[in-house]
Amino acid sequence: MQVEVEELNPQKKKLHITIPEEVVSQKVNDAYKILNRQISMPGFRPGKIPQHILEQQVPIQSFSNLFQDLMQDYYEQALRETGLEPVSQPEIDHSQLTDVRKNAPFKFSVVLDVRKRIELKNYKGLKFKKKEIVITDEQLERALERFTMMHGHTEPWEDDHPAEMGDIAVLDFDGFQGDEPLENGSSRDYEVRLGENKMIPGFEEQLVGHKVGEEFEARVVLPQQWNQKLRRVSMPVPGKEGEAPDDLATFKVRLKDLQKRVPVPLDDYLAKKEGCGSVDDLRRKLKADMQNFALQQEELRIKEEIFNQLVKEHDLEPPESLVDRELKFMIEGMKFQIEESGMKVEDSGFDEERAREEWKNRAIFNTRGYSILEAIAQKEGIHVTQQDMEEEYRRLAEQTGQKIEVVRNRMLAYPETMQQTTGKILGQKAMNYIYSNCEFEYVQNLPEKEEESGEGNKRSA
Amino acid sequence: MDELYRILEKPLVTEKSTLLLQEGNRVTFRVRPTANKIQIKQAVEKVFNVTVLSVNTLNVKGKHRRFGKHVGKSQDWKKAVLLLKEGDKIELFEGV
Repeated sequence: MQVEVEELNPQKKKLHITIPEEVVSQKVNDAYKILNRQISMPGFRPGKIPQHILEQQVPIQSFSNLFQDLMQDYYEQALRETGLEPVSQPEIDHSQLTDVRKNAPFKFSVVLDVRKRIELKNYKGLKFKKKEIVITDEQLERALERFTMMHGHTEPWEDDHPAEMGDIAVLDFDGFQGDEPLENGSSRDYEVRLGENKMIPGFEEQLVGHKVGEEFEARVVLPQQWNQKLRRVSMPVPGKEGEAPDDLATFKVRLKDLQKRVPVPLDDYLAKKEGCGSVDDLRRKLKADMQNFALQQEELRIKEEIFNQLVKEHDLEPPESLVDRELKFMIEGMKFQIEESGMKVEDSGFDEERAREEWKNRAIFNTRGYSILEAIAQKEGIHVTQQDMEEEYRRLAEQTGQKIEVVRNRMLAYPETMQQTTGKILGQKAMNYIYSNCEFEYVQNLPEKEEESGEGNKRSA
Repeated sequence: MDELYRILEKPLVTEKSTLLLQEGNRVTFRVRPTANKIQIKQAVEKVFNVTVLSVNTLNVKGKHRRFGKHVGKSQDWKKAVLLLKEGDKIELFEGV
């Protein structure tokens, strides 16, 4: 085999591969032999058709599968010989397939993106500030309150009770902008819990103080995202009128019912229902849950910082195909989210072209990060094991509610998805490795955020 | 000329005929049953522009065929095997 490497740019190579004549004719002859038994021709017994007659009937070009397999084989051989490492699916030039001949060497070319050796900077013993996490009694009480509320029930208020925050209001409303009714801006028997801020800002506040049966007007400034259909997903009252950002809308509201939320008593019965022995157990469980959650959040935050720092420290240009792939996954992910929320992609106003441009930098950034993580994994001998894959299948199966075998088979059928998944797991493992090798300075409070704080809870990842 | 074309019905490409061609430069045709060797020789020489050294012919009896109660017989036909001069070739047989 002959391989010539042509350098298109530092990260793009073109391989010119020549498959020797003997191999080609051997393969072709074998193929004809198999074909000979399969077809029937008047005047000949099966398998007895002279090859030159067969060749005229079935031209050699029709064995494109055979040549594709051959190209794949030799491509892989060429990679081993040259020691190149492709980072994505190669572009194999199939144009020469029409020009194959039996007694001639077969030449083809492959364009591939290769990984440039990444010069790894320091990634061990990175120093980060880690927040110490302790759940205060006050926080626990608040969580308990939410918990009992969640398990509680609703009771109607007395008729002359003015609405207050925390009440559940049932209302009819019609939205207007000027005299024009807002599209989708009206609703009947709409339930809203005051203080949850699910409506347009300012709307819920204006309900306070009104009593059941009252009719009134609420004026709110339409939020800026009102027009961007994308944001409609999170809007309970979607509409699209109003070009200017601060459009004033009037809602005619009729308050039909007011209810209050009554918490369940915090007792052993509730605790047992939650699988805890006593109220104290429940408290401990809740506290542990909160702590774990906070710890996870903190871990995620630090990992993101690590990621950002790694990208900042390493200067490298990721291959285009990888960036493209990342972009594709980002866009697919967005589409998936839109569809999950019950909208059609076409209606959402999601502009793929625009997203492509706007997210390009993000994609480059991510790709750089992934490449670095991969390089670190390689250096540290971190691999994706079968066990990791099984774990991932199980997780995916759980997420999608399918059987593990179905998920596994589907993954195996799509090499690109497979590559993406193994890459993801590898990145995670590398990140965990870096994380566990970080040095943490425990602090009470982070400068920019102020949430939970307290005394030490040391742990290693 | 038209007459000549009507004598040669079709070339025969079978296992046996390819063997004959390879071993002795003989070509095989299905010809009109009424044609004689001289006519066949003339026809082949004219149409394919080759030299024919000898002609062998044989009558092939049609096969008895039956379809349910109907008994029938496929047509009888004449086969001609011609020896060509060394180096002469008929494209038809080189590739079908």
